[in-house]
Amino acid sequence: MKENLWKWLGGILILYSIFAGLLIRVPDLPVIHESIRNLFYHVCMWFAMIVVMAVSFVNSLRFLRTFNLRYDTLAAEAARTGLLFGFLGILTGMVWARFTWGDFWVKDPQLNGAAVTILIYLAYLVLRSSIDEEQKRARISAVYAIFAFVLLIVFIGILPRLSEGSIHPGKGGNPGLGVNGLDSTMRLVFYPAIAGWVITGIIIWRIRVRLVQLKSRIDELND
Amino acid sequence: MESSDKMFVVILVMAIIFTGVFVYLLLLDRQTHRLSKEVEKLEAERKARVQTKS
Repeated sequence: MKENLWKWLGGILILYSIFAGLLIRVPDLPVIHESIRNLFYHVCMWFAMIVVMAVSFVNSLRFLRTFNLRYDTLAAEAARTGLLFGFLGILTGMVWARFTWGDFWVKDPQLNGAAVTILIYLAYLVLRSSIDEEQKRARISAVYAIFAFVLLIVFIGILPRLSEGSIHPGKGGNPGLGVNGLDSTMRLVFYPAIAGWVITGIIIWRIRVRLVQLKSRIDELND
Repeated sequence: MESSDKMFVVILVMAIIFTGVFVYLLLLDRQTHRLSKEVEKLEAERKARVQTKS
């Protein structure tokens, strides 16, 4: 029942972000015009990814404290879920960039940082699949995942803000969540949309974890 | 195709996200289905083995 409550909440918040996101009045800015509404969809992908990757980070730490393989599963599946949102974020960003800056990819610290982050997590999966021994794989990938999350913060949150000449918005202070900078009507849609996608990310992560549990049950039965 | 208000960009972005999530969930569902079938099969086999032993 409690589980279902979260599913409904996530679904309703996303549904709200679709309707409200399309219907509210937005400030008419040059060049982007109505495509400013992508804020409710494109940016939420990254929020969901960062939260799910944080889950992976926390569970990697928990694994290294306890050496309980359950936490390794939790961390790995969180990283896999995060990659879904990363890819969706990149793809939507490319489409938005094509019709705003004229090209699918521009040389911008924010874009390259996001791409590097995705590659770091893809390398995490490659690393995992290259080690057969369970405990060893869990330990090495947990240490890697901790570094990976720190690099995510650096490449997505810090470096693009420090570098001059980034044309991707979201620089200077905390424009996504701060009180200044974002239109107040848009904030009423933006925050629920973030919450909805973060909840959806967590739900997908839990489905993935249950899939792995099914797999280990099969291994158990095969022995 | 490019209308000046760029509303189509929003539609494109939404389409990417929702087809992406939908296909992803579809694949997960297929995997779950396959695995739970296998668990059922193995459990039935194990049961049969226990019964023939006793």
